Amino acid sequence: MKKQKMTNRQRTEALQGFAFISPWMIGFVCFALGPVIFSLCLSFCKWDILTPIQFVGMKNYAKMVQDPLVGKSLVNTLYYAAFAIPLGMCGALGTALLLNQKLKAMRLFRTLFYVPSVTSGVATFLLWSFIFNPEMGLMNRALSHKVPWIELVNGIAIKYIPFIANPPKWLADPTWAMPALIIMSLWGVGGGMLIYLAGLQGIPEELYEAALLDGANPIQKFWYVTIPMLSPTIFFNLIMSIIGSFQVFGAAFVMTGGAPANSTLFYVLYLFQNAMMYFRMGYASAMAWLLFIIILSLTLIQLRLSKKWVHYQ
Amino acid sequence: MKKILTVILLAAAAVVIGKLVFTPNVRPEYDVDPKTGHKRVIVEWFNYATPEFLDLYNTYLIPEFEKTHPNIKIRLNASLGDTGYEAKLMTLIAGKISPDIVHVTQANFPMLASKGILLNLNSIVAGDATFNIHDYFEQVMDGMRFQDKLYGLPSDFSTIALVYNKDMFDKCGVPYPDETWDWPKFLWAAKKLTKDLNGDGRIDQFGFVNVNSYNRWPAWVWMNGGDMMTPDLKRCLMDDPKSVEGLQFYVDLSTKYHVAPFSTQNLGQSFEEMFRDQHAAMIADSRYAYKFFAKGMDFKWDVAPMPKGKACRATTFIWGGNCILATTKHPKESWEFLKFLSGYEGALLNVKAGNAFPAYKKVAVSDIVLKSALSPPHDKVFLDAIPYGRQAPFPIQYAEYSQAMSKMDEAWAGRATVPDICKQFAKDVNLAVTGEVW
Repeated sequence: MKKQKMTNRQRTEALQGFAFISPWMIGFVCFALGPVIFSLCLSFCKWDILTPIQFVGMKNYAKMVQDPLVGKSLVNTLYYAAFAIPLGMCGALGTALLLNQKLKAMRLFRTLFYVPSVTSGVATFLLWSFIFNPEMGLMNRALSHKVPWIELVNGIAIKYIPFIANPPKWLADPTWAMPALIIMSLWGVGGGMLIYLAGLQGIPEELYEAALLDGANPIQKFWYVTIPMLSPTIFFNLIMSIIGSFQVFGAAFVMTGGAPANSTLFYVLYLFQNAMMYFRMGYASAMAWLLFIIILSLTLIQLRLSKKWVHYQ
Repeated sequence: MKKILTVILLAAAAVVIGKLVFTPNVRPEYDVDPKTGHKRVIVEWFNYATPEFLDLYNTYLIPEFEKTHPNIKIRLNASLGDTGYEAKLMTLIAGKISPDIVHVTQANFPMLASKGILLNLNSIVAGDATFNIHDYFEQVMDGMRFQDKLYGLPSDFSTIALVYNKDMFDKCGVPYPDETWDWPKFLWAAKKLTKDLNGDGRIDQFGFVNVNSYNRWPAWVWMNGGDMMTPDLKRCLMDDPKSVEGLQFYVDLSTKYHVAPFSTQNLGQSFEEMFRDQHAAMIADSRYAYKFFAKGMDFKWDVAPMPKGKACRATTFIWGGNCILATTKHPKESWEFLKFLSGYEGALLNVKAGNAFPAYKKVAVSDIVLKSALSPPHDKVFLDAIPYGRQAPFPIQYAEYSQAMSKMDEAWAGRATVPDICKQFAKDVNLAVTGEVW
């Protein structure tokens, strides 16, 4: 088939189109695509910003394999993701279901649950540092609060003993620092909740009515109507939370700096430390590309799997 | 016609963008004094400062200097707060618009010095008859040496001493700490001062606070006769029994005797806040804390020397100073300002700002410092500690050394024994100092 020539009008339209998107295009090329390509090149070099860039081939990648902190930070990140994602997803869906009821003052409740996720990150991180303080923090004050305890040794006696005598030292303890951050991550379920809420409101009422006529109980309604109808939303939230978990940075940067004993050293935090504290730009770039490959493959797997369980109307 | 216009426009855009991308950044090197018409060299000073400091610099220090040096203009480049300070400095250097003078502290100096970006002052100091290095405390000056080269001049400093709550000591019937205190006495007092005041089963008054920081724990290793590195920085000494024993005692205060909670800056309540809020009877702190204490401490307090260890007395330093960058085009003029910052005038500024001690001896030992409104009765303890104060070493493999140190938290958390942690640290550091700097 002969290729059709563009008419003058079409050409003008195309040009105008490009002109209109050019602010974005220029920004993208200068501030996104350029740095991306530069970092790919850098990942094969050694560069401390000050001395000239030196080509080292695959040495950065070889060093990553040997670096125990790369492995440690990847494990830390996976540990966080394995708990924070399911907890966050269930928490967000649960709250969304509760807030989808027809009750008085529902708008107020929705606002209240959403507010935490719009408060500034650093402020909440500092707040949670207070809560997790081992000696004076709210968490341990509550955990070690005295509760009545009935003793049946010699008759019945009521004693008051601490609920938990030795509560964890949270951010000061390598074993408990990560669980503390996971607990804290629930603070931000409001973002996911809002998306679920929108998804829930999009489910047609007729489907529930039909299910009711068929004699479905509330659990069956949830399982056979809500979940399948909500699956595109769940899928979207899942992908976003996986990406978010792999890029988690702020909490550890502000609250722990990776301490204690590297137990909260997330992959991106270690990458940042290499780039901005130790000025190993080449090494940090190589780490960034590894992260890109990991996230890309996880997302591709998700897309492949999604065909099995996501239903689009 | 339209086509030509488009081409012209596109060409113009290309030229503008190309110009933006390829024009090297330059920062003016000279200016003209508006009053006298003299040509002046611009010396740029990069630092991070709180607004009150900036105010003092702009209204007092810089005008004072420019008055006596009509051929030099000081340009202040202030980064608000210390977050990302080093990264910003590196970016300025990479962009070839590096400042001439940078503010450094004991925390970032080793990293900057190890990068080789600072100007070696050895020959400048030797060749300047107006400058007397003995006007400064030798042990403080030592902090600005890296591998036997002097890279800057200190402007302010403090040693670490025991800051204690007199009221708490009185209430618990414990005599105040003095120079007779050794480790057993210190531990005895800390135990007596640790109390559950409201009987809820949780301790709410501690004898001491255990800070896991590189400007605190090394003192306890030195007190016991140990050290972190050999003087040539070629081998780690933390696996030496004396070093292990020293660190063991310090960590035990937390994990074995429970007289000192473990504190890092990020636990929501710093050790200084614990002291201020009367949750701790003693802390090891510097004179920089006075400014913090000045706000709301309604109890009597004083300072005493750190307890004596088995081997000797020891303490660490906290300091701030300034360095000239190796890239400067005006080393002579920069050196003049550097001297000024650390000399008599700079010292007075530090006193005005309430910034610990000036490194300039004559002012530091004078009454305007030691009898200041903030001073407790035994303020001089900090100065008396200088002869046995030491600078904690850093090898050139700064990153690896810091990473090795981060593993030591395990000991403070009671998740690993101190001997094991020390062995691991020595192994990591010895491996790092023989490897290349990455």
